[in-house]
Formats: sequence, structure tokens, C-alpha cells
Amino acid sequence: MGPMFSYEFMQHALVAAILGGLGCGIIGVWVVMLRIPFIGVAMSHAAFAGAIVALLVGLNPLMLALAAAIVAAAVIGPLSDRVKLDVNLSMGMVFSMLVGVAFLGIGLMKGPKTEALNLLWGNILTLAPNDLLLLAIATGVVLIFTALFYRQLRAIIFNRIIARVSGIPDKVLFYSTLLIAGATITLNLKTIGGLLIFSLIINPPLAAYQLTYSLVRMLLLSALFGVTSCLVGLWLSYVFDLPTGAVIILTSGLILIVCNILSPKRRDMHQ
Amino acid sequence: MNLRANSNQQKRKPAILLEDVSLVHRGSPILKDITLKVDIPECVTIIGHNGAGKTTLLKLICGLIRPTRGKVQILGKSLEGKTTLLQRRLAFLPQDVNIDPRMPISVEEVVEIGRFGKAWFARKSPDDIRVIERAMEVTGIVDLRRKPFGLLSAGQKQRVALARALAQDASIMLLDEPLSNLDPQAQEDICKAIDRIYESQRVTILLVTHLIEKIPQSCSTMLRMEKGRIVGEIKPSSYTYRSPTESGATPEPDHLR
Ligand SMILES: Nc1ncnc2c1ncn2[C@@H]1O[C@H](COP(=O)(O)OP(=O)(O)OP(=O)(O)O)[C@@H](O)[C@H]1O
Ligand SMILES: [Mg+2]
Repeated sequence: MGPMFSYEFMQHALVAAILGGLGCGIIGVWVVMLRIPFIGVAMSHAAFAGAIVALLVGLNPLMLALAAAIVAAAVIGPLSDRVKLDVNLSMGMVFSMLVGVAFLGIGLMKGPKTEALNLLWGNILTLAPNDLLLLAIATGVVLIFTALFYRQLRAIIFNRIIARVSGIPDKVLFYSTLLIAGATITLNLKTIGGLLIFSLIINPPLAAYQLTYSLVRMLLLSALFGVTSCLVGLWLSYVFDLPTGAVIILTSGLILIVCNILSPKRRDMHQ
Repeated sequence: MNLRANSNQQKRKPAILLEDVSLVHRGSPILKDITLKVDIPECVTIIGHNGAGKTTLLKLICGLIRPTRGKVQILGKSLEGKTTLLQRRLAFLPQDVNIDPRMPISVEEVVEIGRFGKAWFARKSPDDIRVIERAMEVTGIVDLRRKPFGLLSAGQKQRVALARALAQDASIMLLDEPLSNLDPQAQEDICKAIDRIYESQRVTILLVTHLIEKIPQSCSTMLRMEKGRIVGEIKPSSYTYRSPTESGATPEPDHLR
């Protein structure tokens, strides 16, 4: 991989791949284990739609994307809290509205739509140092949050009611997780792309989940799978000149398939 | 109920106090005019048919649901508002919880959950470790500590759930059918364990059960619920029927089962 990283944009891409894979891999564990992947879907599409609308009306895409992700979480979070939420229904409503808005926005844009298409596909090769700094902050927040509240989060994913009656403030932690997930998604939008980022949140933890009964190991494996997906994706896309986001997601999907086949849990009796 | 003479003002506050508590859910009454006072320490058993409202009553006491009418006080304080603070002083053993069998968590880690409400990012103190070990010993799960929780048998899971509640080291314990799924020997063991905890720590225990022949000895009062009401109070030692508070019903012993 030597000469590949002699370019500055490739060095940036390498840093972004590691940070993105790490952040998504770790926050993804909480999103998956809290059984709220649909909120992750909604947030990533909201962020995407928000960014497109911002480009259309000339606002800061990052800000509007973050705001949209938070609004999505704020709307769907309490609904899911009341347990009654029909996941398919809300997915249908939220997904179609948001993707519709995003593509409508792209359609309405005049001139070259490079920036919008970058948000759609992701373009890891056009990142500025500023983007990297924000990405580093997001990933740092994910790591610190996980380190501080690891035990409480573990209790909540085991069972929210049991955590609550043990005196753990489950609501605060639940909403904090959503907020951090929203920020992580938004800041990885440019790298991975609005339609693909969600898979990077979900695939690595699901793959790790197949392999272990230990949450620490699951976190480590998920981080490893997230970073591996991003690095392999970056490398393959460089060598074969393919869209990076797509290759990253395909890699993470491939890891998920392999882990599912190798899963020792399949041999335990769960019926 | 059990009025113990106690000079200490503080201790005269009841652990649990319910006054005219009713709960209506979508138009149908689930609890009706419940008045209940449980002292510190006291062990009270609640019996009654399926659907009588026993679980709902416990959930209401630990603040998981709010009453439609009436007053609920824990240790002299209303449950409104600062629920989490009070919840740390209450250990609730839910009747049934569905846990994903592939959940990445070990038996010991489940028991530890009882300790982590206390401080936000606390590590385990020697005190925590001592309480966790004792809870696992009492419930006989020390050998299972490293096993994934999801792979346990129903009875083993029940023991772990009880150990989690014990690990909270709370002053009030709400136990919803702690003996379900347990074999006869384990039922005896857990009853004795409850007695030991009661004797050594002077905790208040509210216990729901269907096994009236397996009631901890420390239990001084047995309440019977029927269709959302408390309809009778029985001395468990004799199984003789004490005068019912209001109801005219006179249940015979086999109705208790
Ligand atoms: N979440 C709920 N929504 C609506 N009704 C409920 C709910 N939970 C319980 N009920 C109703 O409240 C009544 C009391 O239920 P509860 O679970 O308190 O009974 P129980 O005495 O604990 O019974 P069991 O011995 O079977 O555990 C029942 O009629 C039940 O149908
Ligand atoms: Mg019940």
C-alpha cells in the first residue's frame, strides 16, 4: 500500500476511514443492542435529506443534517419508548418521506450536482482537514461515552425495565445514545454517503454479535470490523477505481455473511 | 398491620403506604381502592388468582406505573418526581422478562446490574464485590457465574434474577413470584434465604406467590387479592382467616391456592 498514501488526500482518506469505522462500529453496538436500528435508518436518511435541502437553499449542510437527524431521533425515540411503535409503519413513513425530499432536492438543483452526489455516494477523497477534525471529535465522543457508561448501557441493553428498577437512568442514556449516533452518522455522511452510512452502523456490530457472548469482545470486534471495512473499501476502490462508499458497505456486508456462517451461536440451542 | 413499638421517629414511617389507590386502564379498572401499609421491617405475602392485580400493584409501588387516583408513598416520600432516587432503595424482581437468548452478557454481569444504579461511572468497590458474591451464594449460582445468561435453564434464570435484586441491597424488596420455575429444594433454599435476609438486614419484603405452603417464616401477614382489590388478610402461621377489612367474602383455605 506504500505509494498509495504518498498523496495527501489519501492520507486524509486513511484517517477518515479509521475514524469512521471505529466510531460507527462502536456506536453501532449500542444502536443494534438497544434494538433501535430503525431509528438509525431514520436518522441517517434525515441527515441526508437535511444536507441536500441545505445545499439547495444555501445553508451549511452539516448543521442542517445534524439538526434533521436530531429531530428524527426526537420524534421517533419517544414513540419507540412507548413500545407500541410499529416498526414497519414508521419505516415506511419516515423512509419514503425523507428519501423523497432528498431526491426532490437533488432534482431541483441547478448546474453541476457534485456536492449533492458526494453526499449521496460519499467521497472519501475530497475531505478537508476540518472534516477530519470533526470526525475525530465525533469518534472521541463515542469512545468516551462508551468507556464511561459501559456498565449502565450493558444493563439497559439487557433489559430496560430491570435497569430502571435498579436505579439506572435509562431514559437519559437512551437519548444520549441517539444523539451521539445522530452526530456520528452526520459527520460520516461525506465519507460514506447518505444512503450507505446506515449499513456501516449496523453491519459490524451484527457481525460481532454472531461471534461472542461477551459484550467487551463484541465492542472490540465491531470496531475491528468497522475499521477493516473502511480500510479494505478504501484500498479496493483506489486500486480498481470504484466508488469508495459502495465498496466499504459491500465489505462490511461480506464480513457479516462470513460471521453469520461461522457463528458458534448457531450451534447453541435457541429454539 | 404489624405495629411494632419503636421509639425511633424515623422508623415509624411505613416503608410502603398506599391510600385509596385505583388504577384504570382504557376504561377497565385494574386496581380498586387499595389501602396498604407495610412497616419497616415487615414481610408481607400477597396471593390471589391470575389477573387479580398482584403484579400491577408491585409495579405501581416501584413507580413503573402511576395510579389513576390515590396516594403512594415510599419511606414517607411521594413517588412523584424523583423516582430514580427512590428506586435505588427498592429492589424489584419482575415476574417475567424476555431476554434475547443470544444476549452477550454473563450471569455475573447480570447480578452486577443491581449495583450500578448507585453511582454514574463507578467501578466496583470492595463493598460491591462482597454484596454481589453474597447474592450469588445465597441463590446458589456461583458455579454459573461465567455462563452466558441466555443459555441458562428457566430455574437458573430465576435464581440469577433474584440475585440481581438481592445485589441491590435495598431496604425494600418487591418480589414477584420469586419461586416460579424453581424445583422444590430450590424453593426451600430461597425461602430460607429470604428469611436470613429479613433477619440480618431488617428489610421490608413484599412477596407475591402462588405457593402458600412455601411462605418464608418471617412473613407476618398474608394478603389476598381478587379482581383488583385486597379482600382479606390471613395469618400464614395458622392459615386461619383473620377478619376481612371490609369485604363480606369468607374464603376457605382451598380458595387460597
Ligand atoms: N400492560 C397491560 N395493559 C392492559 N392490561 C393489563 C396490563 N397488564 C396487566 N393487565 C391487566 O391487569 C389485570 C391484572 O394483571 P396482573 O398482571 O397484575 O395480574 P397478576 O395478579 O399478577 O396475575 P398472575 O398471577 O397471572 O401473575 C389483568 O386483568 C390484566 O389483564
Ligand atoms: Mg403477576
